[in-house]
Amino acid sequence: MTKIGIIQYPSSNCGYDTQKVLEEEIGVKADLIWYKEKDKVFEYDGLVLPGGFSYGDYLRAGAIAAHAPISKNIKRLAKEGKPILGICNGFQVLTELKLLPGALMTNKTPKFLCKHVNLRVESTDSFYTNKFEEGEVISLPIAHKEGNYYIREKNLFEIEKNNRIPFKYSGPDGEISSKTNPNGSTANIAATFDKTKNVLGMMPHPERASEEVLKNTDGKRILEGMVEEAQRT
Amino acid sequence: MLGFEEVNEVRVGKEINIKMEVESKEKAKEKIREMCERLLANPVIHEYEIEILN
Repeated sequence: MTKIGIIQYPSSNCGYDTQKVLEEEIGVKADLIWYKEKDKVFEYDGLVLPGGFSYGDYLRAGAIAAHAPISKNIKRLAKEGKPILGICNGFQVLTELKLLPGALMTNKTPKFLCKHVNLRVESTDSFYTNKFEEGEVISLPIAHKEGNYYIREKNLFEIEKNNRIPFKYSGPDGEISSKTNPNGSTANIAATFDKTKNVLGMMPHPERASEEVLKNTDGKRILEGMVEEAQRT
Repeated sequence: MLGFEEVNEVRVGKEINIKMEVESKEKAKEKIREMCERLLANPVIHEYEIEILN
């Protein structure tokens, strides 16, 4: 039976929301994995690194979590091709783990941002995004202070060329400019894939937009895509 | 700004003070450089300098 593991570092706080959506809305078994149970990750078909403030964001968001022993095992699973999704703080951890390129800096306006944003779908060529149309504009909530994605120019060129940017911050009609950039991210980037597209990191929260009662299920399509891949492998 | 007209630019950084016991200043520098690369700094976004005080 397919099982998704949700990593709980000290102060990860979106794990239960993610578990609820995976189990009740998508219908897959999902367990929280406490960071000390480092070998438990090998029992799972896919992993989510949820949002929160792992290790209190001390030093830098995600930096200490990337050195927790469980993270070495997450890296191993990523290399084996298992689906691994990092949401918000999870994205920060994945960049610190160097599974994803770039880094997340303090927002251009150094305030905590908590709102819905429009995102333009840039790449549908992955199991996470194959339920979207290219150029489709979706809406997801963001909630972060360190979401300003930075990547060096030569690496930006590489990820652009290889379709490794699934979502960019946009306006309601898909326009992409500094006006539709909430946090100062390079090229309005809201999410990135690793080379093989089994690892996705994203600042917006798909698990907070996955239930009919919330009037927005755009995020559910991302999680469903991930679960289908986990079921296949 | 507050009358300090000579100021052109201000930058705020992070300072980490480390006390350690090693055989030489060179060794201390080497160890700290490794700490910076692995954890204390993120080479994608940070520059760092190491200063040995005594």
